[in-house]
Amino acid sequence: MSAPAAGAAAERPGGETVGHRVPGGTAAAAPPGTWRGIALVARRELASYFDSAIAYVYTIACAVLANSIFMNEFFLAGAADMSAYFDLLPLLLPFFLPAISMRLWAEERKQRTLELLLTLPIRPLQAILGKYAAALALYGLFLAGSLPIVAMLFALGDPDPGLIAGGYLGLVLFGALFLAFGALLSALSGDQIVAFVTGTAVGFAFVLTGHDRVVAVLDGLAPGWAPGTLLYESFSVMPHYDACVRGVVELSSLVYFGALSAVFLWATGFVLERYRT
Amino acid sequence: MSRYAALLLGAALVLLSLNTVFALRVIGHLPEPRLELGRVKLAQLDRETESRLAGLAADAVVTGYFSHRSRMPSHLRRVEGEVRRLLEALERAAAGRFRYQIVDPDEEPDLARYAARRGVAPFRARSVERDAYSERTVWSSLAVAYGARPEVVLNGVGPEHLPRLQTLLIEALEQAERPRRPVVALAAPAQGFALIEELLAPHTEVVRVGFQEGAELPEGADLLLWLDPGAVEPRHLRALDRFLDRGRSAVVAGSELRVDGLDLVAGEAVPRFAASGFAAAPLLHHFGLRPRRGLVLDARAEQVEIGGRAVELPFAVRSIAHNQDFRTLRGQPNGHLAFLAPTALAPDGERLARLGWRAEALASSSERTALRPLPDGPVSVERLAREWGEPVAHLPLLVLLRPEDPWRGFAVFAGASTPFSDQGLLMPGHAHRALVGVLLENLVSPDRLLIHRAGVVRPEPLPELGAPGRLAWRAAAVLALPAVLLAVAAARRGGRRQRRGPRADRVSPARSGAAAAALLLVGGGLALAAARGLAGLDLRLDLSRERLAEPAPETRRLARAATGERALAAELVFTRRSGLPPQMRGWPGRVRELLRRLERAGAELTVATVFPEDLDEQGRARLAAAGVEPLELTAHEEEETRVRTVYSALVLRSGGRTEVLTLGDDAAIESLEFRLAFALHRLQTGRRPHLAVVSDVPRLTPAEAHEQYQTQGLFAPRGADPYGVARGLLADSGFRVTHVEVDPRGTEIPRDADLVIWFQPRRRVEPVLEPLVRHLRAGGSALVAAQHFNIQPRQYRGTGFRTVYWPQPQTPEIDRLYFPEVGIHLVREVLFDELRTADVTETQVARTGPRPEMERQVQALPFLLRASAANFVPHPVTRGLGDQAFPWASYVTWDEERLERLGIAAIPLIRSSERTWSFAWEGGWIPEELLAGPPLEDGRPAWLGRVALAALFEGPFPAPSEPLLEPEEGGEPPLGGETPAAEPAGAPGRLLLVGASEPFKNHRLFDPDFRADHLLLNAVAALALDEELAAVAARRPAARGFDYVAPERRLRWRVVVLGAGAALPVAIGLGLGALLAGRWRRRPALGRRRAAA
Repeated sequence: MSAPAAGAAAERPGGETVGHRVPGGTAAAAPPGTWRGIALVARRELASYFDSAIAYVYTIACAVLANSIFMNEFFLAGAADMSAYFDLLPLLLPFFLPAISMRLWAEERKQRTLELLLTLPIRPLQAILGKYAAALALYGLFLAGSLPIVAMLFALGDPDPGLIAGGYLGLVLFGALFLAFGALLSALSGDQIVAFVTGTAVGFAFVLTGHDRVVAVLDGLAPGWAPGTLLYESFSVMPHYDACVRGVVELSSLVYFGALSAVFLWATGFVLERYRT
Repeated sequence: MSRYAALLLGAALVLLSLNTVFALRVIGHLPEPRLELGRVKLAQLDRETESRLAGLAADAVVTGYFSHRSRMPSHLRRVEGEVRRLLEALERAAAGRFRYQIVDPDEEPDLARYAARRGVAPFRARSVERDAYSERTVWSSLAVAYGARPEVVLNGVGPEHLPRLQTLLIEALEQAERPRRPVVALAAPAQGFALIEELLAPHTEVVRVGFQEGAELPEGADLLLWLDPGAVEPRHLRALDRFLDRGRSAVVAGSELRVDGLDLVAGEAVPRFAASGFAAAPLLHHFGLRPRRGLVLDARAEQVEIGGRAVELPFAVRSIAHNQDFRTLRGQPNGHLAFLAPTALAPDGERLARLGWRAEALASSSERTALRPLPDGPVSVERLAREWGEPVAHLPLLVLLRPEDPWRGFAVFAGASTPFSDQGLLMPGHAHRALVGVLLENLVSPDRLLIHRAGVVRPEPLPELGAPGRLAWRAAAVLALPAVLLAVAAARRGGRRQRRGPRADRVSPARSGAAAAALLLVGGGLALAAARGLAGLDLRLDLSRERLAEPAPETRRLARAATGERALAAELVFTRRSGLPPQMRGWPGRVRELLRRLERAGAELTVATVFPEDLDEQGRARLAAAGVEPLELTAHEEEETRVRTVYSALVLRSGGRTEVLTLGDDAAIESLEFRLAFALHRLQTGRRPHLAVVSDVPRLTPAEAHEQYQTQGLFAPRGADPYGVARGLLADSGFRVTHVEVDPRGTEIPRDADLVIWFQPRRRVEPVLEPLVRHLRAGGSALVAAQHFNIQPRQYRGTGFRTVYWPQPQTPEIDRLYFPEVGIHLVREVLFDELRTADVTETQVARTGPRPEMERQVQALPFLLRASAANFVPHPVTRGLGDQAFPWASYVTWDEERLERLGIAAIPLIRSSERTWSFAWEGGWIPEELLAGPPLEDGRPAWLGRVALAALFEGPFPAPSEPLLEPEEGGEPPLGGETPAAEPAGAPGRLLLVGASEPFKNHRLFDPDFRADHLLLNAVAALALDEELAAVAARRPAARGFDYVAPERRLRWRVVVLGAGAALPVAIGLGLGALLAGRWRRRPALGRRRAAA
């Protein structure tokens, strides 16, 4: 929830109260329930995206770029599957996703509205999850921009729907993880550019540790220890993402994405808590 | 900002942009508008060039032949401009001695004829038109005339020429003025290779080099002759790579075996074989070849005189001129080549494709060749000839590796050094000297020398660095700047603290960060550990249609049967992880995982892991006795080329039987489940399905042989075995594969063959057709892959090098023998399909002389059919199959009524698109208008419609109405003839007729875009195995294509995907905005209503 949006919401008479103090007023409404609080923050954050050009510029630019790259070779390759799209996105998302997450907290800090937000009668966790849900929704909107590709594949050929579903699930989990650590970096850095650059760097670390060449080179540095393979198997996002793209959803992958995302969000909460105190 | 102001600003921006573009174009025409900072200049002349231009002895005129920019494919459009810029610079610097002109031969027919007289030819380049591959014939050549000297022509000038064009032109002038002799680096043992030096000396400058012993290759060497190599070490491979990367070529000749002499024991000649010390495997593996282990025996062999009598030595292979194919080179030896105890070479199709080489077998053994294990003790020549070995045909003994990158050098491998040795060069009646001449003529030809002199633009290779050095450089490159910046930040922070003192009122971000990092380390570590721990539980959901992550039902059934007496013992024989090349490190895990699944499916299974490096000699010998051999591989690992000897095998034992699966390549891992299931099947049944493979070698038509060879006193060549890779794939998959020799008197197909595979029948087919019909009538299965034509692009000087297409007849003859009687027709027409692919093929360019030159050019015409998976009929043969390339395929039709009468069912398996047309070729070139589309009938295109490219026929096959072969005295009576009633009806047989043999050839089988190996394995499994096991063979992820899509529809879809992709978020955003606004509007009203209440 960026500052202008939060302010606007506070001034709207009769708007959905988030229980904050009305200027000049003394009474405070009861704090909303957990889910309601999350929904309120998410809705406000999302509204702030769509009130400005952020959502439009971001989703249009990213969707057009990703779809164009896919379409460039699609008819030449002549294969009715989306694997080329799913292979492409891990290289684009480390740029795309920090562009959403960088502003989540850094802008609040820059505008000095974070203090205001943290004094509202919602728990930091609700604010974190609300903003995170809004960012996920925006990312989902970008993914929705690829649905015409799915329509085209089914119109032209007979793609495997299971593989497409698996690929999309992989993308959602991938995005959830990247947005979670992006939120943490945004909370930590206080500057959007720093948050973007560090987010991109960490994102590429997650992706490139799954690249064969990188694994081979890292293994070669200490052959007995095989650090490349260790990173690939333990740290990298790619084996889990690739499994989803192959249509295989493993419990270990769900735990990897879910637990890591939770840890990053928890750490974000910790940072904000420290900031408040 | 008002709307008017915004409009004005926008218009100003557009005008400014247009102005900038125009200014840039104007600047582009100025003489020296650019600064070239690199070492290699495109148009800026260096001092050396200027001094050479100043010293020109005669007038130099460069003529550029370029098609107009609008006709060029995108990647060639800027070439003319860059060339013109360079030529202008040269002209300015030469003070009148250098002139140039650029012409477009397409504009003026006379110009095209003028160019053709000078040997300048257009070439075909691939372009993409409306989202589909297309080809264009364009001109992009330079002819350099220097005084009265012969012109030097640079054909096919492309962007890759530009960085070195300046040097190429100057070197062309230099070469014309002062031709230099090529330098040959000769690396050979001191003894036995003196004559080769004498032979080379008149034409080249020979430099002896101790390459084997560690000496560097001379910088100026144009050709390396490495004869009888010994141990191959990484430094040899690195040096070879660098040498070839610089455009130089290498010839490596040697065998793993040596014959130390012949003893006369009890009147019989006994050869003394010994290991030569040459480690062929890593060297060949490095280049995408493999040694065929064992002793090569050939019925066409050299003779020696022992004790006054001539003794034929079957291991001294004589490759006669008919078994040689030098068509792609200038010249040919035109005589016998001898190879003493050679190491036969086998192409590794998948690796060759990955490395960018194309293997051409220049010389091979004869049709009657065998491979046998090297005898343990003394064995006489007579016994070798008697016992013979496993029949194999046309083993490649001399192989040329042609690079996909024309700037790279060629590599030639000979299975023995005999043709280059003193002994070989002195052999009477052999063409070894001519072979040396041919190799020189091609590998150090003037055009190759020009490339060598100009140099190839590649980054300088790094000096040899040890691991610590590499680590230090890596650390410096990655960490130096961050370390400096961190130090600066820390220093500044420290200074600020000193000035201001600590701030107790605020939480330090660094402290927050550190605390968060600690949290992350603990939490993240726990999360990762949990994920890793759960991976072993194998809890997963498989969303794919084929459920590829789970074993197939048949695999599970076979696993369930492996209990009690048939309990399974698996032994993983793998080198330790750190000793495996990177790409193989995950393989043991995959094998273990599959075994775990088998166990879960009910198999009684014990798994043991053996690390061969922990075994002593005896242990390794036991492995070898069980059939587990080490693989010698080379791998690029972390800036280093390494030679590794690794074990990668799975040994399965059950019920007293043993099966060994060697996992040496990606194909083995890709089909791991099938190979394992098939091995279980063999363990349980004790039977290995037997495939009999019949194939002929490619050869010229009689007219071509006469015109191009016999009139010149040359032997017409025949190609080597083009289906060796296919046979290797089937053998590696677990089948017993027997090569069947084609005997004109009557070919014998093994009676126990489960499947007969006949790759490209060629005239005369009766000796094979007769036993094939017998086999079908006995209820057997057959796969016949045949096509009528092999379409060759040709360019003739007389026609201005316009490209014409000639369908070279392959004469499969099954269109007129037996099959038409049954009602099955392989239609003898050239087939075209709008659904096509692109390929690089040999084009015959007839510049001078009767023998054309071969040039690799692009083809993207409708006779290169693309069989889309969307047009496959669901069947075990087509399951798990992606699109297939069927170049120059023929189509199959059948007479439904006749087949029905005979009780034969026909199933079309692979079909073309609807947009096909054909041409009943009788002679000459394919009419040009047919390349553009179907002929018109009543003003409308006459489409042929969807036709079958492969069909399966099942049922009792009848006897032929006429005997196919003449009866032999005392032999089996011929099938068919006057007493058809006497012939029994025959058991139901199965015939899979594929209208293309080209996809199964060595260089196409593993094409990464169209995996013909998948089609072959599917077809063989479907015909030779039961349906359930065949289904396991077809389990693989396959990208299935779609049918023909018209250009307009392609464009529409592009617009939809891009437009809707952008519009969807806008629509959703607007909708959301409207929704939120609506709610807000409603809420005050609600409040008012409540207040009123």
